[in-house]
Amino acid sequence: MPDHRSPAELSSAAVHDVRGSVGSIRLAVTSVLADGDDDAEFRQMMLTTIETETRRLDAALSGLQALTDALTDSEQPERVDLGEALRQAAAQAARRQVATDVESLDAMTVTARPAALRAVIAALLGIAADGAGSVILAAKERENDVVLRIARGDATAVASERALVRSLLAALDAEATPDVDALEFRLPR
Amino acid sequence: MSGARRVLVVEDDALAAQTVMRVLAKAGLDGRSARTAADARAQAASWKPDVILIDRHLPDGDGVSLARALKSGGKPRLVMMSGDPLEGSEGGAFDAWLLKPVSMQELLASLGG
Repeated sequence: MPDHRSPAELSSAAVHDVRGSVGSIRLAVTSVLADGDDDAEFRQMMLTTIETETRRLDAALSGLQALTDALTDSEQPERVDLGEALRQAAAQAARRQVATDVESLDAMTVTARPAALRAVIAALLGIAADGAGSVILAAKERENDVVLRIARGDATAVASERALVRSLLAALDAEATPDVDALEFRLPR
Repeated sequence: MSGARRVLVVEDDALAAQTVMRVLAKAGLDGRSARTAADARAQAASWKPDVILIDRHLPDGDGVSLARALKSGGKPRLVMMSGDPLEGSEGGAFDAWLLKPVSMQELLASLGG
């Protein structure tokens, strides 16, 4: 189902998502600071949480930048070589410590705004990886669309319901499709 | 953990829920989590928590509507924890609300009891 929220609503939902990571970090830090009984196991768990949430926060901030870029991009949709766009997005993600294994790119094209497509895909790769690690990006043609699928390299589930992810897809005029383990969405050919 | 206050954490983000649960366990509270409003309603009915900590945005609804559906005869204690402030009459659905990011002390104080 198409997402018809306004740019302000998309941004607001995305910021709410980012505050989740900030909230976890503050909760973890204050818990460690208040730990009067020197519980090493608890401290280790909380420090691990802080490390993970810091990576997620970094990826989410890149996502916010990509969302702003996509929402303010005045380009018109055009035919885009998907393989080249995805390779550029993967290269952009690699600069932020996310390795992407790109599969199934046999001369496909989609109709999209080129810069927004690259920025949003790069951001989604980072978010799917929680800011570091590896992801698998695959594409296949289905009727009038191309379906893109981003899965984590460690086979754990991608949090595809996150508000930031939904806002990024809406900004790209992409439609999410149900997938339990991965982030999957359709772009028009 | 029998006898400890029961706290149900309604939060769709698994890592955020896990962090809160660890803080609750450290404080000697009995915590469980729900990722959706439907799961929260089911656990509230079967487990009967003393306190329900609710995020505003859930995959299958919003926290304010969930709170209104869960409150019955003054129980359980309902606490909103969200990145967005409550507006207008929304606050009336809750006994307390927290604006993220919150400290451990603020979280535990909100639970009452």
